[in-house]
Formats: sequence, structure tokens, C-alpha cells
Amino acid sequence: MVERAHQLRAEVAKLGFSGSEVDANVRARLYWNPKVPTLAIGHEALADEVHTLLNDSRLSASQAAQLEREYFPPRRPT
Amino acid sequence: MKTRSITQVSLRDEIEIHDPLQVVSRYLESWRFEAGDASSSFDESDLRLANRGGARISAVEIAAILERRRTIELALQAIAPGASLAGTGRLVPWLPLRELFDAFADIRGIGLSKMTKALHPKRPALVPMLDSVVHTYLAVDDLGADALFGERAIALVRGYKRDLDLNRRALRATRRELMRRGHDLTEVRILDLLIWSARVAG
Repeated sequence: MVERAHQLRAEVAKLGFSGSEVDANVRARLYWNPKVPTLAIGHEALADEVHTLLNDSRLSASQAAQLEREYFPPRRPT
Repeated sequence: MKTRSITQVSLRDEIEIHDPLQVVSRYLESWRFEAGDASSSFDESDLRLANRGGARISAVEIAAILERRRTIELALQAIAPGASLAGTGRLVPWLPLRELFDAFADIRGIGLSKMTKALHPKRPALVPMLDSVVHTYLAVDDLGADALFGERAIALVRGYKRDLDLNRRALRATRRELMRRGHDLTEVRILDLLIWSARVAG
């Protein structure tokens, strides 16, 4: 799954600005933001795949957190 | 004596609680648990109740929260009083919960601890008390202070749910036994207390 997260990260990064829109869409859905950014046609499937990967409820808390960190840029310390 | 049907609870950092019923029962003996009302109204009495539970919400903060009263009540209306975090993920009202958390965003002095102490009695099976102890326990799920308030709260609750799911059987059995003894505590409250016990002991 970590490898897949890296592959998806690379795939999304190739999209340039549209990639950050994909990230914003995934993030909004992961954290239930009422306003989910719309995506350009053709990017929904990619966003869906990232969301499905990061939203796997079978993972333990530490596994889920690790996977999110692999995909999203590192979080800043509080 | 340990109740046989209740299995151990596994927390993070390889902490095992072998007799969750006994741990929670000890808290019930020494702490006073005041039930709130699970209606969709939200007023000063809810914040006073939170203060009796140690929230320390000042008069200025109470006034600031009550300015958001309409938004808070609308979000509460969208969440059934019995909505539970312990159920299937699809059944958790995540979106209204996010809206409820968003209603508390950017109020000076109000953080996750005060907010959840005020909201837990309104939806006791859904909203954990994210006080400093539980928040620290959930550190790996914390998006940090730069994240949006509601987003950060949801991330922590999502992480909390993983622990609930992992221990579903034991928490449900503990709840049933407590009910048999006359104590109505939700799985969420039971897990709060178990995290507390582990952190305080550790």
C-alpha cells in the first residue's frame, strides 16, 4: 500500500496545478469538508483511487497515519 | 473478579487493559458523571454542564460560543441523538459532525478540549472528549495547529474510531455489564476513561 501511495503521489505530481486540486479534493473528502473542490474531467478516477487507499478502515491508526504521510507532504509539528 | 465475557482492550503503544470493567468501575466510584440532554438545543446550560466537568469555559467564551448557537443547533439537528461512532463507518454522520466542529472554529480560547466537553453530553455515543490526555494519545492522527479546526477535529475522531473498532467487542461487553449495574455509559465514554487510566498510570 505504501508503494501504491508513492506511485499515486508521483502520478498526481505530474499533473502540476491540477495535482494540487486532486489533493484538495481527496483531503476534503477524507476530513468531511462540506465543500469538496470539483475536479477537471478525467481526474476523478485518480482522486477516487487515492481516497480509497487512504480511507481504508482496516488499517490500524499508525498504519493509516503512515500511509497519509507517505502520500501527503509531511505535516508540520504542532 | 474479572467478568469472563469481557476481553481485554488493546490501546496504542502496546498497552493492554485486561479488565476494562474494573477500570471503568473505579472511575464511576470516585467521579460524578452528570448526564446532559441529548436534544438539539444548545444553550448556556450545556456550557455550564461542561464547566462542571472541568471545561473551564469563561464567561466571555460562553458568550462567543452562544453567538454561534443557531449554527450549532442546525448541525445538532442533523445528528440523531443516538448516533454512534461505534457503528459501521458508513453510518457515522461525518458530514454534520464536521459542520458541528466547524461551528466552533476560530473562537478565541476555545480548542478541541472545551468544544468536545460541551458536545459530548449532546451526542454521547458520537463525540469523544478530546482533552489533553486523549489528544496526546491520538498524536499520530493530529494534523497539527496549521490545519483547519474542523479538519483537525475530524482527523482525531477518525483515529479514535480505529481504536473503537479494534476493541468493539470488549467495549460493547463492558457497556452491557455496566448497564446491568445501573450505569449508562457509551462505548466512546468507556474508551475515554480507559485511555485516561492508561495515560495516568503510564
